[in-house]
Amino acid sequence: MKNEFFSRSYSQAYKNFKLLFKNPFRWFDVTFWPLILFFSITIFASYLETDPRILAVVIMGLIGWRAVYHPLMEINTLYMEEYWSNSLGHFFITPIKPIEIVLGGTISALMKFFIVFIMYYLIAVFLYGFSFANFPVFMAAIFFLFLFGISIGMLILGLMFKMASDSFSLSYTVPDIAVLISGVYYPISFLPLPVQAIALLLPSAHAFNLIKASLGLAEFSWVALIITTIAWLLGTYLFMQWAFRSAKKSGKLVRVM
Amino acid sequence: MSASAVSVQNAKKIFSQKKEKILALDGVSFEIKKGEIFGLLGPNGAGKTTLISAICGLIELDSGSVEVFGTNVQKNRDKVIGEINLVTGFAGVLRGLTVEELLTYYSYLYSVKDKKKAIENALTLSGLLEKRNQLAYTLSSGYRQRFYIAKALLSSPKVLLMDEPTVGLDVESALKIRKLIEELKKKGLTILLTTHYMIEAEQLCDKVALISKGKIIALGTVRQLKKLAKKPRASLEDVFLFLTRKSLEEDEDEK
Repeated sequence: MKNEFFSRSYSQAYKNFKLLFKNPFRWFDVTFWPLILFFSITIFASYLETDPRILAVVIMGLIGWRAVYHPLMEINTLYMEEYWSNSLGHFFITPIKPIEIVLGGTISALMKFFIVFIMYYLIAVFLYGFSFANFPVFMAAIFFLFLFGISIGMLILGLMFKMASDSFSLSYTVPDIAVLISGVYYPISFLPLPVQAIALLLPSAHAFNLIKASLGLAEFSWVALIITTIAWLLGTYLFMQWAFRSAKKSGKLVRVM
Repeated sequence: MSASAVSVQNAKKIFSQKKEKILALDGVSFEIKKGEIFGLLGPNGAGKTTLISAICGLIELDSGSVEVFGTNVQKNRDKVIGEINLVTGFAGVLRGLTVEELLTYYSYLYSVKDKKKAIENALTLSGLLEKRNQLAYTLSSGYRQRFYIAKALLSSPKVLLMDEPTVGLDVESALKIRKLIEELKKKGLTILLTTHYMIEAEQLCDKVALISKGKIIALGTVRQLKKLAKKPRASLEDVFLFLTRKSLEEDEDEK
């Protein structure tokens, strides 16, 4: 039973790996686009010539955001690939379960994140003499951000089960909204008060506070980070499971109707 | 152990689309014996694909039940899904992977133990050996159907659901697929075959059900059904036209 669970989960990672290694354009996701983002933001931050800690926050923010982006995109593209190929019928006739799609996406996301992490770190050291203020704390923040990425992945996967292609654009818009209010590159206190209240419900806001706190630039609460992370994981998992059952009922899972 | 491979009892399904209610299955019942080829014939929108989706556990019925080897698919899908596989002319193949890579992908999905051996067997039986390195989505329609059959065989299913496997194929490719279906029957597989082609049903099926507007309007062997048309040398097509017209007239009388 355990072996079957891992075999089905690995099938999803296998699909992502094969598609990545066979198509050079898919490497843009771990090379071209992250580099464009990196240089746009770090060049601007160094041009401003402010407190050097700000540049460190920006670099760690860029790395941290990739920890959210890759799991959510890998999980969602697993479904989208099948949808675009019109092969959902063949996919869901197999014993695959939603949680196995999530685990498969997480495996390939780990690999992609690792590539971008190393690339960003080497460039940051070479160009800006960057070093981590507190590496273990930074890695703890990365861990929680990765879990948040999985949560958003499950949320959007659930929406895809329910709404199919109508929800595909959410894969891109939900992270954009989250990046705006999570205080990736600036303190949350900079945001309007009602937005701050919403931001504090996101584990990403607390994880980025942890990164800033390692440089003495913010206050941080472990309790808030852990509670919001568990709440998001649990809530989005339950939503995804409900959406899967509901899509089976309505026939939307394989577009019967 | 149940004597029938598939048992559908009083299956009902209504789909809601905006404010409209669509009756897809209206109390469908039938049984398929082990090793039998069971034909399901009907026009577009008759409920064939809905029925196949219900047997796979891909949709939930509003009422009624579907059992595969005595296990309720709606309640215990995980227990029985390994026994079922699907060949359909309507679904596509995942883009970007070769035939062999895709079969490897599906062998992980089906947790096949000896993947290499299972893939070789499936490629050989479906006649796809020389196409193994071709991108699967670039296969011609006929070879694509063979690919679906190869994919289905990977999991060593006992029940094979074939949803219009020869739709859109040229005569020669359709003949090859029919021959392949006959070979699968010889291997002991139970097959549910939906088709528009009466000739296909006559040639392959041990038993046939005619379905219209979500209801089974006739069920029996090809010989039994032909008698219903009350016409000498009737074909299944005659029977189907006779029964659907009769059912239309009955509906109008009710109104």
